Amino acid sequence: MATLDHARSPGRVAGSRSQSVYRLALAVAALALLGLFLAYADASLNGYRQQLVTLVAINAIVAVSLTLTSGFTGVFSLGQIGFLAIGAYTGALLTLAPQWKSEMFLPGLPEWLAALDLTEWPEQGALLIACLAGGGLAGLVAAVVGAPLMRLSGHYVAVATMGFLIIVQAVAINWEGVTRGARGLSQIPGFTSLWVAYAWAVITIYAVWRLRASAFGRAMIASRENLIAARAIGVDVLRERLLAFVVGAFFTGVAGSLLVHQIGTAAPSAFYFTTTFNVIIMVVLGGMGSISGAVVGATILTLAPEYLRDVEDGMDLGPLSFGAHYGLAQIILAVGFILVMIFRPQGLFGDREVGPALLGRFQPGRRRRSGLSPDATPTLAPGVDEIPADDRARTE
Amino acid sequence: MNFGQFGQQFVNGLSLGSIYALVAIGLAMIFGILRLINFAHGEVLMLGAFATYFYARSGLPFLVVAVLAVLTTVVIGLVMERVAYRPTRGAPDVALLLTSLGVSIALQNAAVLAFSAQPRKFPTPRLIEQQVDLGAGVQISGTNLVTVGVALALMAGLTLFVTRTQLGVSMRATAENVTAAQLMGINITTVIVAAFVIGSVMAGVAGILWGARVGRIEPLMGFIPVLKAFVATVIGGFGSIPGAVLGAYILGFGEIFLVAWLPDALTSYRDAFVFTALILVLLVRPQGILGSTEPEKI
Repeated sequence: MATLDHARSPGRVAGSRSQSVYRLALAVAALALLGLFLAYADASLNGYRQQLVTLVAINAIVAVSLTLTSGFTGVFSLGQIGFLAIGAYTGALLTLAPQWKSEMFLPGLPEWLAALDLTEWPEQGALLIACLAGGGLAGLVAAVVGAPLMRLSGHYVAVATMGFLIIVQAVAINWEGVTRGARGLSQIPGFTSLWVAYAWAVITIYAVWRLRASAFGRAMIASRENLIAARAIGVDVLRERLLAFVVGAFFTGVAGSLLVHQIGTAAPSAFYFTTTFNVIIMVVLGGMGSISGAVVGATILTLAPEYLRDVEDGMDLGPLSFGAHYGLAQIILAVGFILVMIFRPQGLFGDREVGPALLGRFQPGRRRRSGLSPDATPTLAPGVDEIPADDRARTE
Repeated sequence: MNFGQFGQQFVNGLSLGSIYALVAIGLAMIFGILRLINFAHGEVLMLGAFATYFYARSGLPFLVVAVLAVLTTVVIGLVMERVAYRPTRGAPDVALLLTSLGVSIALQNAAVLAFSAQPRKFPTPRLIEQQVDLGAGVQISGTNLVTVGVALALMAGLTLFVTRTQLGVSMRATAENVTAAQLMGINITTVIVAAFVIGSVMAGVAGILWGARVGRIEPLMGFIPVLKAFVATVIGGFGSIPGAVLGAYILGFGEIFLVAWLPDALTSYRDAFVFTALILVLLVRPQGILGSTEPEKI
């Protein structure tokens, strides 16, 4: 997004030069803090914790992508994890050593791919290729799939993208010659380091941030808020949605590649509804239109299960003793999510961003309600049995 | 495929379609009134099957067990409505859909916690497990016969209910236009509760029939039927009950004959085919075969 006109960024719209200097300083300070934290994590955390910290970045990439695809445009996609799978398998097949590929018996691979050997390359170069290829293929698939699907709205697009996810899952399970079916691929080299994951996360956040500040982003948000009005002023809604879908898919694909190079395996079960649901919770918890909200949501949702795992393993609370209860973490998350939907459907931040809010200043022109509740008060007054649902259907 | 095989597949498709139809009716009914796609409907089905499993241990006659199990699913449906869907009523469509996803995941995991993920053998009564010979080489299982019979009876009952009773007419009116129905003095909460009761009865029965069909039950069993039923409601037209039933039978037959005719290598892809069909329907005719809602398409 380097070619974007600077005058369009919200900072400039709001006015003074000092403000944009201030923002730049803020960004540099934030990056420096992140760098310090990563240096600390790299040096003093144990391997397991480092993995967890890396996972935060990977999840943040997926959540921010979904914020772009769904939060800004209002086109709710349940298929995001399908792109994660595409990126994951693509990246894995590129960097897997040839002897492992032949050992796992993948007769469906084209010869050049089966013979492709990136083990001689510097690790980070190989990972970069894997990420770009994974993201690129995901973006390409998104362009093909999105061209018809982005015409749909509301429920229909949610359902259709869910169909896409199920198709990707069916292919991952059944295309044994390439994906090794339900057993999945293993022995994927562990190239993903803290630094690379966070570099990609920063790139994603920056790109999505700039995209929102651009004319494209404004058009996306306009079409979310009022489709008819947006089209009336000449917004090409299909093009905006498709752009959001493809860019979101690209970064999700990159995240998929990073993920498998961290955990070392790629199995279909990792790319299905549970993951989809977790990413949705991240985004909804943070606020559907908020980039920093997505990052905060991803951080909470990545770290929380680690603490909940202690609960699952059982514990003693004074006189009360709990045995091991597996699945409890997911129940707690789901119930927590329902409570958020009931009491704070706009999420923690709604459309706002966390940085400026913390410093007591709101981003200019961003104090709007969330993407999830464009027009309704979250709950109706007690005793009022009213469903404005059919009115809403018409305004969509 | 000779005539006997065709007959067998036909009854098989009819039976599968009947189960989908029972699930789809509940989905369509709730969608028509609340604009909520209730993903947790599959968990009602699953809990119906598990209730049957546990009640059957008491040694009561199967029919009594089934009735008790269906009553249990009704209670579950009502609690679900009260706890999760009433507070979010009036929220945007997607928020409702996400809430139901949350309910679904919570119930699935609660079931894993309570019953363990281990599949259990469903206590199908021996009486209906027998094969019935219809002549001309057509042999069908008693389960299929019972499934079709029960589903048709329930659908006939539902038709009578929505056309002949005050509440049934209120429900149709509400599905047509919520605001106008309210202006006519219809209590929306009563209508919604009724929709959940009926939907849960259907899902509970479907759970028992599915258990008998597959022979095993496990906490995640509700997921596939609800997805398929959901495809059926889309094909038939969101919110239209006759459409949902029609879509369910199309899907049931389609799936059975697809598997019968496809080369073996491709049969495991049948879910992919089903959802490709779904996407095509959404693109070509998003309002479905019988739906009349305005398509949300740009």
